[in-house]
Amino acid sequence: MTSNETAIRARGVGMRFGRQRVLAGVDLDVPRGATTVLLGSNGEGKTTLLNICLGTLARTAGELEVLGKDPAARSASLRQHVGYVPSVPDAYPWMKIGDWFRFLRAHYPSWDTARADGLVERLGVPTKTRFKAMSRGQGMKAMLAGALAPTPSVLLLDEPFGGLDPLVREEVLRSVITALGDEPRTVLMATHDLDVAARVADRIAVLVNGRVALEGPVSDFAETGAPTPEHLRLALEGACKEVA
Amino acid sequence: MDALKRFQQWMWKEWRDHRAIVCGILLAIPALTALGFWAFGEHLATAWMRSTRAVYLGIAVGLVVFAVAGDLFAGETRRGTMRTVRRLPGAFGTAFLAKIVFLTALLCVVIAWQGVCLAIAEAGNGGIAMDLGLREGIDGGPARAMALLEGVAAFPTGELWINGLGYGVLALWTLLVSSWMGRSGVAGIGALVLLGALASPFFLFFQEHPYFFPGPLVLAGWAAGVSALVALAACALSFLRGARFEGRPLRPFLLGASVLLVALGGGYAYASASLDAWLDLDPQADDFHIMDAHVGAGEGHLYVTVHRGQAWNGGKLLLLHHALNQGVKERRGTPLQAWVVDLGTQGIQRVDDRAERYFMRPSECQNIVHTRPLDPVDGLVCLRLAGADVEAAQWWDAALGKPLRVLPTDMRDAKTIDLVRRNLRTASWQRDSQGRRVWIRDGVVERDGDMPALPVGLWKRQVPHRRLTAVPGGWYGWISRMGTARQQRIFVDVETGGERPAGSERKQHLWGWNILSPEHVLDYERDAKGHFKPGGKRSVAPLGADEPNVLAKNTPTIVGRVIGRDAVLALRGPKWDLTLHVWNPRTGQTRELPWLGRRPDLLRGAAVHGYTGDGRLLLQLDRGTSLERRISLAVLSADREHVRLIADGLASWVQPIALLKDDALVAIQDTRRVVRLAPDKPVEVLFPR
Repeated sequence: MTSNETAIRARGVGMRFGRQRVLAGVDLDVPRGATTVLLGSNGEGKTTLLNICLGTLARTAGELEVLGKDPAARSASLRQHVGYVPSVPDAYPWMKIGDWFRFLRAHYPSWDTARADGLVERLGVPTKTRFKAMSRGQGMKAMLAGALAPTPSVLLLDEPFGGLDPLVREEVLRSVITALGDEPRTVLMATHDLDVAARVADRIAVLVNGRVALEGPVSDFAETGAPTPEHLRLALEGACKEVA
Repeated sequence: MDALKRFQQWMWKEWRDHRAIVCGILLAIPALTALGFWAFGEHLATAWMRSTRAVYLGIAVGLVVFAVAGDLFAGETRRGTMRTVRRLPGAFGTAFLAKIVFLTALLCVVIAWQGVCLAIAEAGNGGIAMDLGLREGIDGGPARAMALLEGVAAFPTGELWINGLGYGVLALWTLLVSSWMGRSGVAGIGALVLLGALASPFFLFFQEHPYFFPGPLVLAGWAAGVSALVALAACALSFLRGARFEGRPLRPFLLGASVLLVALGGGYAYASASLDAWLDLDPQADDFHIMDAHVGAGEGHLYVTVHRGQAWNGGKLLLLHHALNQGVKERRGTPLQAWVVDLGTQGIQRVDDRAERYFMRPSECQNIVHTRPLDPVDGLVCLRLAGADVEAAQWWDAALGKPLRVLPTDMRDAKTIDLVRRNLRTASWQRDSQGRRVWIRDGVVERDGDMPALPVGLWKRQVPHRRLTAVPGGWYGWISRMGTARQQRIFVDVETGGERPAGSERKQHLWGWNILSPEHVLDYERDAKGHFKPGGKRSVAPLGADEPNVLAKNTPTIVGRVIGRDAVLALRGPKWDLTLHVWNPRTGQTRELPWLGRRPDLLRGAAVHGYTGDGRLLLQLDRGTSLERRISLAVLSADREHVRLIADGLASWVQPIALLKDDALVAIQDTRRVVRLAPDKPVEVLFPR
């Protein structure tokens, strides 16, 4: 069981797709109320680990508990307490934000309509535009609002800034920081963007070759004060060399 | 409530996903219907109506199958929304249910809409109206509108739904295939191929054992229902378990295929076991029937041809009396089975273990006709069918109850030739002037002491089969001239064995005749409808040189069959209480036949049912009132001096098969049992006991 302080606990989690091994024994503790950033290069298994935490992928080895439950076995009840923002908006293209929220509301008993409307207003999500006509940034904001409206205990963010141009990326990042700043929340964010990690992370975990090579509070990555992206780059390179 | 809300949202989502396609289909249906009736209106309105409806329904359902059913699962993959279905809490099962319900509802709507369009088109085109005889009413405006409404109201909705939902099964299979492939375009074709591959063994099974299945409609209903359930189960497992997690592309297929394999294997195992049990006939069962039976010489063995339900032979349904009389429409039955019953021990020997077989007299023995020979038989052949052809003939020594030979049907050896002759001799009551038994074997007259050696080997029928009526001194018969409507009466002489014309050629069907003696025949003229002409009766001597008229004297009320020299069975008296007589048509003298024992009253008719080689005749007597008819059976002695009642007042159907020495009759009763009916004795069941 996860302790009261740990929201996600992974021990030796492995994942294979056929002959390809993606995760090779991940050990990770994600504490409650903190934002943990999962760093790693492309193809290191960050998205895979998030999907295993969400219960849409079945791990092939190890143990994993999210809020004390195995997501592969109790995924439906668990997902009501887990928010998820995909790397690409996955709402139905013909939906507007209202349609999408009505659709989500039926799946989340804890859905807070006022909160959802507030998020839409604060994040500046267009209400009369279908998803197929939204920009990537607008789509990601809508996804974020949809994920936060049921007030989830755990929020999983999968590369929310990938593929965004710098201006939009900054806008979305501010939205995320704004939204996350409302109340203490457990967040596990996968990204390879060191700048994002430096700005939002309470803890950092570095995935290299399918394992967590480095993990700890963000303060451990700088001798004094908050770490910069450069600090994180050095830590990432160090971890890679150590594993190699 | 949460589950219901989720379901509503998914139903709404499916509608929004496929709204454009559904609207397109609903618009295409009336357009295609109108186009078809505009192009082929007259044809569609009449003889092809039923198949037209089926074709239109097939097209409408096909549109749903190819455009919607294939897209329900595959569309999620194509749009990249499969992860959405997976990641939302409780969405996976709800989505599956919604997709099934949406598809079913859409099929129902499309079938109903196609029905409405067809009903209107047919009624407008005069089709249904023509069927109802309302064509004349479609002239003026109000009358035409009324005819149209009546036509629409009379549309066969039951047929519509049966056909439509039958086609709709393909939609479930398309759904299944699309859950494997993720490509909606080819899912329909894939489903057709899969269904064909899975159904072909069952089709072959059906071809091989058509008797095992109920009627085509019931069978189609069962096939559609089972097929739908299997597809639904495979679909559920493929989607709910196989596609639950990402990254396992083969898992839906493997799980779905495992369901199909289990269903297929289970289906075959069940069908084989059921067929095995079905073919295992129980003589005490309600649906057990005896189609024919023979008593072996020595009366030690019974040779029965049996079946269960309806009788099948050579892959075809044989219509039997009991099936017709009871209005039975059930086609299910078994092929004929040949059983040998030891009457002493009641031991049953199933010939060739449930193969398609039946017992019969050798075909050479069928050529002597004076009703049916009722002597116990010396030998029988047991024929085995391979498809529609007789594969082999197994020859049996009927006295010993043992098989003798297995020969091709057109082969004879010395043993089988001897068996045929023994049968013929036993059943022959024809005697020549020296008192020798005479019979006809394969168109050739043979007699005791004058049996030419027959070649062993290939046997060929010498003359076409003819029905001959035996009279003292010979056999009367007729031959038809090929290609003409004329026929020639012939006479085969006992003494010479030769055949000669008996009278002039006549137009077939325009006359009937009644033999009174070898020298005396009553001819009846018929009109074109086959009715006897009043005053068209002629009494002639056909063997005379110029066919002179002779006069039958003192004609009785009812003239029966000739039963001896100058002896014709006749009935006299009031028609509700006749008496049996022997009438001499030459002298006109009549004598009443005395009864040995009890005489049945209320006699309304009599017929010679069969004969034995020693000259006894089995009479079937029609008794009772016009409200309650009964059958009695009696034996006329060989010297024609008395009649003896065997069975009286039979309400059930009885098929005599052997008249034994002590005047006891062995008969099949109600197609259920073989009984022994003896004068003044209770009915004894011989088989099954």
